[in-house]
Amino acid sequence: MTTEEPKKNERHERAIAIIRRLLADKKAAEQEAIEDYKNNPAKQALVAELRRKNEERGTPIVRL
Amino acid sequence: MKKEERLLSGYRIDNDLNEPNVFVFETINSIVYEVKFKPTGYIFANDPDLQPFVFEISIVVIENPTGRRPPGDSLVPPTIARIFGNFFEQHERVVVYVCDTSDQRGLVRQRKFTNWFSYYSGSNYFQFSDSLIDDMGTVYSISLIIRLDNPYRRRLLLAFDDLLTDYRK
Repeated sequence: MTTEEPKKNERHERAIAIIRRLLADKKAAEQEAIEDYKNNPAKQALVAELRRKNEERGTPIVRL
Repeated sequence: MKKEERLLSGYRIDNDLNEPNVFVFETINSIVYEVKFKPTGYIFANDPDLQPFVFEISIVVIENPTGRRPPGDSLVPPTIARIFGNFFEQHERVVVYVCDTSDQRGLVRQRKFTNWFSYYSGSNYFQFSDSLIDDMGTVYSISLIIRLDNPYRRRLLLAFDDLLTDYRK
């Protein structure tokens, strides 16, 4: 079976479409992260625990 | 701050046990960041074997009690570099960073990401960057980051190159 190579314009459009989808996914993920933090008790608890540990140590800074 | 000190200091990182690809950290200004790696294997539709390993990174401020735009913070880049280190413990993984450079902020974001990654990544990672331009003149920047010992390295670079061939800016 032979497959014809997509034409240059078609491939260009395909590549641009993929990048645009990546950008749209990224923006959606950013918005989801903000909404999730507002509405998800598990995420809020995770951050609260992080803050508690940082307060206990007196700083959020660590040796990496 | 000397480079050695910058490499050693950063913010404490916590990982969401329910979502292993999600990391959070709090800065000295009480700003909380979430760093998430989201599966985006569809970009390599022509090579399904690679798809489970491809992720897009998003870095988001989820809490900012200052009410102002987060100030520059020299400890954020090494912290994100450390998160990369954790994420890349599974060495087949690939991270894609994409940016719409239609405004100045986009260009700044892209430049910052590329610069800090180059500075902090050391010699264990490889970053392959390129850009595309659409009919409206908008430039899209895209970077692919892999560990040097990624067993699919050659295939990934070929797939990435194939995605962008002939359409560079």
